[in-house]
Amino acid sequence: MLKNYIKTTLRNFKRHKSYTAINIFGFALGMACCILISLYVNEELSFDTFHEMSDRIVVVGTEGDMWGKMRATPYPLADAMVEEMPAIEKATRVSITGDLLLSDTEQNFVKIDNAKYVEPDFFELFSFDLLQGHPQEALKTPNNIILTPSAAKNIFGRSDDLIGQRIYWQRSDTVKVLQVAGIVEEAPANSTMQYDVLLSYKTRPAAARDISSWRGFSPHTYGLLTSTEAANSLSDQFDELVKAHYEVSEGKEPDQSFFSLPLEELHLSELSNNSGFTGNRAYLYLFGSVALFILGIACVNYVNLATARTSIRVKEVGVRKTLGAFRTQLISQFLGESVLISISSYVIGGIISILALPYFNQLFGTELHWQTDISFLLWLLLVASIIGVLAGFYPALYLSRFAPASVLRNKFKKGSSASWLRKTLVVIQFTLAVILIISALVVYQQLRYTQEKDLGFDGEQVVSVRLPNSTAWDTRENLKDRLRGYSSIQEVSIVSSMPGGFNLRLGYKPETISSQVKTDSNEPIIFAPTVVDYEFLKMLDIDMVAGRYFSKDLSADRNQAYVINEKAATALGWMPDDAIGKNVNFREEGKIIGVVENFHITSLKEEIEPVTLQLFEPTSWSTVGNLLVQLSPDKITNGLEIIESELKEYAPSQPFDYEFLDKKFKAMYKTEFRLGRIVVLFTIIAIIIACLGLYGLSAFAAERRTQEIGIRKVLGARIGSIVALLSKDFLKLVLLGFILAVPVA
Amino acid sequence: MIKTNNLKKVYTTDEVETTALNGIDLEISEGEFCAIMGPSGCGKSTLLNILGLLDNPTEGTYQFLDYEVSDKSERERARLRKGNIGFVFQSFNLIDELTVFENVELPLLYLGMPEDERKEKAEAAIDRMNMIHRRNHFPQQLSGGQQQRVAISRAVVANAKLILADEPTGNLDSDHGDEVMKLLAELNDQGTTIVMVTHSPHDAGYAEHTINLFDGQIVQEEVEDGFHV
Ligand SMILES: Nc1ncnc2c1ncn2[C@@H]1O[C@H](COP(=O)(O)OP(=O)(O)OP(=O)(O)O)[C@@H](O)[C@H]1O
Ligand SMILES: [Mg+2]
Repeated sequence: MLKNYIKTTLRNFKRHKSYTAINIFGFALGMACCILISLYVNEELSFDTFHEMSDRIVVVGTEGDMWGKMRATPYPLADAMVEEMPAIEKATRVSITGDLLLSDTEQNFVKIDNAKYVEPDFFELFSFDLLQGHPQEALKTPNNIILTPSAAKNIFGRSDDLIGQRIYWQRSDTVKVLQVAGIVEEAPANSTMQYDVLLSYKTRPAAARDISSWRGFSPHTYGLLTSTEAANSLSDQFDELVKAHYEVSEGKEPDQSFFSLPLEELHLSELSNNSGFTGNRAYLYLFGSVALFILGIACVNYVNLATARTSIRVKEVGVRKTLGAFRTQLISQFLGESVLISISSYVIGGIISILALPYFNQLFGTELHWQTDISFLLWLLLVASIIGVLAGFYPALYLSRFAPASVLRNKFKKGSSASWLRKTLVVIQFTLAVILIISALVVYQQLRYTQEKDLGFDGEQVVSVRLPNSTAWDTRENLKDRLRGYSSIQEVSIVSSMPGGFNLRLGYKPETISSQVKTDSNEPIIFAPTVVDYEFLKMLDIDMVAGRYFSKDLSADRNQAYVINEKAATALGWMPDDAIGKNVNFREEGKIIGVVENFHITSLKEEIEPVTLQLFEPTSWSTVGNLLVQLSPDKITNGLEIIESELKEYAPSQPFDYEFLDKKFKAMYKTEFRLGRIVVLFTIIAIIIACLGLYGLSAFAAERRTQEIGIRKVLGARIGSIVALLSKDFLKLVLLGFILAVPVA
Repeated sequence: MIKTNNLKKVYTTDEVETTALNGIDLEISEGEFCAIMGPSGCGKSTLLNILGLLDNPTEGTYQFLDYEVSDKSERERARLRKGNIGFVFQSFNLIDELTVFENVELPLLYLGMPEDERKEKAEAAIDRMNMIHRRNHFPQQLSGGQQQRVAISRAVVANAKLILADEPTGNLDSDHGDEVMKLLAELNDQGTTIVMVTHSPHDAGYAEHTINLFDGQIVQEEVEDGFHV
């Protein structure tokens, strides 16, 4: 029986190739969108679920009137939680430190981006595999470091036999020696906890481990619940804990409290470092519903085309019924057909999605991989079959309904019966498409609005680009003049290095800098010298604390003046005002003319370094420098294009890589930019699918008409014109769809 | 085999009522060859559909194989139909997507017969109509006469006791028509009951029992050598 059905189905497909192709292609496009979006949703929902005890791990944060919710917690919290809260079995601290300079010899330091201080319990809570080394011992002693294979390769050029090896860590003015205590697997992409190296917590300077201070907030604290149910009692137990450790006056709410949230929810919570389309529930819903919309439109196509072909299938129904087929048998035959179509579409859609995945990743800023995970594929297969059943359900009921007696009288009125349905569905389909377009536009507007509000935009659209080579640096004044000529560029500054990204440090003994230094220490002080220009201060909106900035009118500023930051002044033992006018020697002699506030812009590094700003280059200096450009807020894309083409003049083959100074701005700008494209893309796909269906309907109607009129021999020319004619009918429906959609959206 | 009493069929479409059959009393016994004649629109096909359990009468009773069927559900009728009744239509009504063999095999499929048995029976039925060399052809590749022979194979393949034929020669030239009539007569000789609608007095000549309809009523009935009105 099944064989017979499949035969009929396949031969039917073969005989009505264009019908089948339209159906399958439309479905496949819809499925491809769905598969890609499911990959994305699946990845987002799977964050941190790979830990064996993920359902028992909670993230603890501090909430205060002053700062709202934050992840930083007091150091003693972890121990207090274990001791005082029955719901907590274990707790562990993790501290973030910025990038590290590490090396296997004492030179050629390599920058390692993501280092964390972790405690011995780290591996008991989290299921990261320690590939080499002992999980308990590795983190017990100070100055132990655990490397990921990639970090190990970076530092040693290999990842084997490293246990016990020394690693040198250049830490501002000193070089510290660390010992390799283990190799840990790389954190999966769907882990909120990311690291390149792990340092034993005791390596952290003692001050940062102030066991007694409940007023300082720094480490992140994770807790392990005794059971999943224990989560319910957490908030009460935290209240108790706050009462025990903070002085809370009677009848007053405490200034701060602790809160917890399941680790599995961290990624999609407001506390995650989300960027782009990850870590944001709103996008999950947005794209999820887009996928359903598109699939809905594809299903409507199926229903429309299948019922339109009633007159073709109705004879078969009559004959089969006459020969003794039950209606249920016919229903399952037709459902089988639509499931076959949906499964073929799933396979083709799968192939399309594999091909499209790199572009999808680019567009979404994700790093999704096609799941080799069989259960995910089977899941999707099941969903595809269900979609087949859903799409085929009405056509199956409709087609199997015909009584053989009336069908076989040869007087069956062709196709009239369900045409109202098809017309309605076309209207619904286009209404859906238009709602999709409009709501996407609304979301887009909304996002834009919140971004503008968040960032205040003023002065924040500064983009930083590394100059391509030293020629660009040497001729920087010309480059600046050229760039200033464009209307989309407001201001230009070129500096040797970016704050937070200083690439050169020079150490001087205090007495060599100035005789008036007020510090007892004789240790060298490390400075980050930075060659700046007149525009730098204004461009980054840095305030002067004392004195003045460089002036174009004073020639001495050009080669005998320094501006330092507060940190540098402090290091030299001066109050900002004291520093002004002091003669100093940072390789060249000069006078301090001003002190600027401590600034950090690109990096949230905890420590601010002493910085000297100067207009001239120190001797034996080499740099390529950074270009900072303030763009007109409304011409950002244009501005970026101009910078790109100007820099290509110097080095045509170098990729153009820019960064907005404000990281958040950068991420959001990129997101907004991408969202625009994604919206357009999905809308186009939705419309293509809807139009495919429309084309199928009109072509079918045309074919039937030509058959009836009996002009099949002149098909070529006629069918085109008749399609156009019939499309006009459908276009009216499309228009109606638009009109209906506008108020709904 | 067939016994009807006061059969009525009224079609209601767009508030217009058409009385297609108006009180048919009919008895056809096993092994008979019966022809139904009458002008277009007099209700021949309607009667045949009811006799073939494709449709229910609006009024009256119908005993098929001594079993009251006039009030049976679609499913019940389908169950009775398969294996008992074979159909032959003017327009052949073969399924275009299936080959000759697959078309003939179809009633056996719906009877739930195992594959080897199906193959044997279908091939025997096709062979009987001299169509075995065309077993893998599709209906469009055959002439009208050949298609009708396939349709007859399909009607007999399940050893139906009753074959209902609605103008089986209507779409054929006289040579092919004769051929089909001879096949039906042969089947009748072998014991199959045949009820056939026809416009052609020549074809009606094969029957021993002729019924004349007019406006949904039997106006003349002739059995063997006798008449009655
Ligand atoms: N499904 C139906 N709905 C409405 N009216 C019908 C239906 N089937 C038949 N009729 C009407 O019932 C009457 C009898 O039709 P029927 O098909 O039985 O005639 P017939 O004798 O077979 O004619 P023909 O020789 O042309 O085949 C006709 O008037 C026809 O229009
Ligand atoms: Mg008729």
